[in-house]
Amino acid sequence: MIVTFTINGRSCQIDVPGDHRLLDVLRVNLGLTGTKEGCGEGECGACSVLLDGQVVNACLIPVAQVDGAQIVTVEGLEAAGGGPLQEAFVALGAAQCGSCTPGMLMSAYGHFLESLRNGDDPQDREGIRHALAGNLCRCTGYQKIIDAVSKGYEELARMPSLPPAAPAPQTGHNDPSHGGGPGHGSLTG
Amino acid sequence: MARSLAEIRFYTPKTLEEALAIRAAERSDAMPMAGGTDVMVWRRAAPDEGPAAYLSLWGLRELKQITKRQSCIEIGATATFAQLARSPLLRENFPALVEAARHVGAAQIQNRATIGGNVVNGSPAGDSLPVLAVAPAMVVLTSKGRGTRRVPFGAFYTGYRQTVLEDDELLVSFELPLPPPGTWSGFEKVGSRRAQTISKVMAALQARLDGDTLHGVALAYGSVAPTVIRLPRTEALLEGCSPSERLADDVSGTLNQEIAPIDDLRSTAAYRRFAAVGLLRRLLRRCAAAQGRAAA
Amino acid sequence: MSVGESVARKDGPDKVRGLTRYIDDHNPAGCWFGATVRSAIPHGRIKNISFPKGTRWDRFVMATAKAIPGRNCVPFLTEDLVLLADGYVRYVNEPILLIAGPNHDEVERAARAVEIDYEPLPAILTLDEAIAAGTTDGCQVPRPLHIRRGDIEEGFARADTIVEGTYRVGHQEHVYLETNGFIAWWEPDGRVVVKGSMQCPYYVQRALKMLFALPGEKVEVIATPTGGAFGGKEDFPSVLAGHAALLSREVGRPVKMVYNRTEDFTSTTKRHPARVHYRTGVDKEGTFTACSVDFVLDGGAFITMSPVVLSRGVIHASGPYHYPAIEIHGRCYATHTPPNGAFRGFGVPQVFFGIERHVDRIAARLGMDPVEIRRRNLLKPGMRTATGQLLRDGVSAAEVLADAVDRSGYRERSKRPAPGPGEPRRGVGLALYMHGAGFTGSGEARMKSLVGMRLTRSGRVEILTASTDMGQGTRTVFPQIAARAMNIDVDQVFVAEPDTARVPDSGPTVASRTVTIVGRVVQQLAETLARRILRFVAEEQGGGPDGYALQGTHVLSREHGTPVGTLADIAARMTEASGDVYLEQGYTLNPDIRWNEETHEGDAYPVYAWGCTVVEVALDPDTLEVQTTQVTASHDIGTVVNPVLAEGQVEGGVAQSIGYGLYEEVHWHEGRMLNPGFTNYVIPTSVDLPDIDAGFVENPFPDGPFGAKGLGELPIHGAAPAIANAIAQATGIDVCELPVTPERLLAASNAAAQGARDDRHDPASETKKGEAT
Repeated sequence: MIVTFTINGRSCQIDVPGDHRLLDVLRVNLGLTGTKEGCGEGECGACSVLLDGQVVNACLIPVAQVDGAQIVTVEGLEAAGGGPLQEAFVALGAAQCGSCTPGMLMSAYGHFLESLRNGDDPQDREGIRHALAGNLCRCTGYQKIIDAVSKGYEELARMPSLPPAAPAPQTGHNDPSHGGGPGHGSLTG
Repeated sequence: MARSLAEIRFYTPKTLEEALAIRAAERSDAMPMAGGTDVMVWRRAAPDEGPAAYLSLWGLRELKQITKRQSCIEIGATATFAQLARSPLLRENFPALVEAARHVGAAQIQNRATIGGNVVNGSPAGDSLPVLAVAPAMVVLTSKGRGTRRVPFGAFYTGYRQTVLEDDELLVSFELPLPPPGTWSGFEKVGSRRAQTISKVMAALQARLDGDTLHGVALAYGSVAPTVIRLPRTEALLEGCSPSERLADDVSGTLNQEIAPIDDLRSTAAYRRFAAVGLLRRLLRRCAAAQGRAAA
Repeated sequence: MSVGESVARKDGPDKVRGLTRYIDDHNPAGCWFGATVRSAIPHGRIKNISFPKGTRWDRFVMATAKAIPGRNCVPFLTEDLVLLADGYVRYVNEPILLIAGPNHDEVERAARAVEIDYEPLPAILTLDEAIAAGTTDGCQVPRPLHIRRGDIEEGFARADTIVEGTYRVGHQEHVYLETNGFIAWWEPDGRVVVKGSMQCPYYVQRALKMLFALPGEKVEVIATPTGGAFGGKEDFPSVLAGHAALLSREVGRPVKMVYNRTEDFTSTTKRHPARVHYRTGVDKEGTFTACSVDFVLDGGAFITMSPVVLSRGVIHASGPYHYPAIEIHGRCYATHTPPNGAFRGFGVPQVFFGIERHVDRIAARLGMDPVEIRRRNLLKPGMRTATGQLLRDGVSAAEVLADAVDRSGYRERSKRPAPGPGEPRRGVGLALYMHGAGFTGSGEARMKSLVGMRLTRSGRVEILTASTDMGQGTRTVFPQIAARAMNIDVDQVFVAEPDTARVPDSGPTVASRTVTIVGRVVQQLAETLARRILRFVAEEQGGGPDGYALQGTHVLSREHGTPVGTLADIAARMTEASGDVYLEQGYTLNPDIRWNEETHEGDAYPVYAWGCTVVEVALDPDTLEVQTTQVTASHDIGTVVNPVLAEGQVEGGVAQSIGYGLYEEVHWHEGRMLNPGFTNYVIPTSVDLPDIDAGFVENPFPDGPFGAKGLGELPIHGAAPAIANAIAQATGIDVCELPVTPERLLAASNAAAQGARDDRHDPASETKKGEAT
């Protein structure tokens, strides 16, 4: 089937079976090999990408379901505003073997966007730990990753506005009493 | 990866009506899928046994709503756990469901996994199930030919991973009766670690606190039987009692008669029995603290 | 001054941008995919292999052991491991047949369609079964090892108390985030080229030489950036490289084989399960008088690395303690399970769980403080180890113990008030340990690790080594060492891609040897290269080499302190004048080191690194779930070359040890792994670990580069036994098996309660127990 979506700010159309995993489409069809496969069953988070501003495991997304969606992978993270996180990861030793790193960065940035939308403080250390709980790392003990995420958030907070390439999520949320953050529930699939 | 031998069909209807028509036509040939967090795992684990087609419900905006009705909260089947966790309506009326939602996987899974998928999957380890059992939820099923029917949650499962859902029906929503004032609800889970884990045992308690005593007690457990179960005899023992952690130990004999845990990869029957009492202790302790706060 | 500075890792910018290309990120044109048909039974004969209708078998290419042109053998310390089972299988998932095709999913499907008939034979599936049976059909075992020092009988006779204990650990999976993978192809000139994820390019080369009956120059092995290894890519890559190369030879195209997580779990090596028994004599003051250790390993179906895992375990089994008399016996049994292999720590985490838990149990028996009993018995300069090695300097057991105890607040934490109802029970525990860096005994003398160094035309320094970077930071710390030795900028130095066609054999990237052994050669080469540059400048500019010095990117005149040229200009002229500026040198082991392999006597290692880990746990009384709430580690790794990278190694090692202690367990049924995935093989997530305070005590090692010892393995020894000790302190449960799951705690606590009830019915039991001590 023909699937059209935006990947790292560029429009893209491909013809693939709808049940194929977004992960394979990214890595094989589009050559975006920065997104890693660690387990293929949604346990390790190495294939985390942003789908309409929310972090998801690309190994569990059938590509048919991303028709019309906006996707950001690690290759597009800098352009999407996540550069400070990448710099902090290098500076503070948060990347060792590097296999979990792309997914870890996407989760970190996803948590930042989520916190902005909900008016939460992204800097809460327990909050960061929980935000990264779906990303397994075997090299670091997570500490330097959490330190780097925290430092990256500091830099991000100094930026004047929400980065341009950070779309709001597609939630379809219709909770009438919901206060909502910026751009809540405005996109459709 | 290059193309498979026989291409699997993939339906992406935009309305419930469209989805029901496909469901009626395809019956069991097309597997319904919402966020894919279970279905895509099965697809990988048993690639030779997959369905001929998938029916995606993800694009049906009408199934994603969480809405307050006259006497219930209606939760659309494809509302995600991330949505549930953030919902002020649920925080106010069903805090146990918010707690359960936060226990599902981690961020990536919560952003995709849906409450309907959790229920239809039918695993006794589904995190939302004990809460739906104590609410108790009404399950709303719809088909093209026969319209809508409402099944009490307690009658939805007929055995291990067996449900009353017919092959032309879709689960569209849950109706959770608005709890009377003074109702307390809580959810507790023990897994193999603190996050991204499948439960070894979990429990949900809902009860109305009248003064310092429990009324209308509903207690449900997951991962201790082939399906999620309510514990009517334990509930009866708790009825009219003042919540305290000692109470859990007092009813532990009955509790252990009502559950039937097994040894498996994730735990042992003996541990599940021990932890089942421990989780009730936690729930009653929290309930007592809430009652203390309310009284103060 | 780049040694001692936290230079940011050189491969960091590419890694955070997703630009680093691991093996699965390569897709050569025309590449086919390979899959493996594996044994369904633990032990038996293959009666028939059939290819049922329904698959277009003509679209695939297959290979069995018959296709191997050389020997069907992947050589390690012995030559028992086969590349493909040939009519006879020894474990579930042993590879039997390889299959390749142009489409990945179709190859996998075809592999599943192959049918194999077996004649099953009785199988030995656990260490206990193997011990009971004595031998395991079809499998070899390494020779037993024995260490004896002092008069054991006299030592035990002198003891006021004798404490015994048996400690058990199961398998542990490495869980590198990047699974094993290779791409192989054959060049028209008859060379085979393999590239993939690995620790030891020259091990892979050696295997391919034997499998394909080729000389070394016909086998090129290229290590791609490696996504974690932890020992798991020391031995196994030789097998997978052999599979990919064999299929490629049959197909006539490049063949790619990258395991999915399930296959990596079920079919690759793991840490050896072990049982270790300690019997320790101790006097009234708490001084050890004698110790007898029985250490037993499960090697799996083939020997592979087991002899050295056993040896390292035996050598470390005495722990960081002194005994007037000690005997250590080590044996390795075979089972019909996948071969166990190298894993960070290499036989030592198994014995340290035993010894460190045992020492706490001795302290409890004597009513002594766990810190005090260790302080009383720890090794000090001038003492001899169990192998008789005289420890000179660089012994820091006392320092790391004091440092970790102080910084953790161990004393205050062990005196917490009893918890209220529902509150977690807290316990604090510690473990003291050491690790010998580099190969055992004279291994490094035999290895002679060769390193190359080139001054490029543009004035940069290229380090050529077979040491791979699997995340630990080789590509960053080697340049730091060279830059310091030459007094140039670290940016001027880079590490070549480990490609056996280009880099000399600096040995495997194992045994905590990269910095202290290979790094030492890097230092020496850099010093030589610096002298050569200055000599050239002196010849050009006049005066002696001493009149010049390197600094940053320049050569300076010492007299004037002014630059006489850039490294780039000088390098260009040097190359012009004398061609390629390339140096090569091997490692020289300190000639004072004496080691008897037969008797396991003498200097087991050039130097030991030392560590102490203090852990606090909180145990939930309702569920017996254990959370690690605080970790304080102190390590003497000599000079710390890069503090951030070193902390990263410690934090990661502690995390892996916490996994070993609390969560990680392989479940088996009839020789088959039941939990080959992250759902049921549980490793810690970010919410399961506390912040880890990783401190260092720097006690420099004169023979290491600028004083550096080895680091990689050391930090995995401490947390698991420390957790067990903390749990025992908090609960009174006598923890003797890892991982300490809530299920195991409950069973132990029920058994203890049952024992107490039985005792009440048996008035003699108190006396009996007293006698048993």
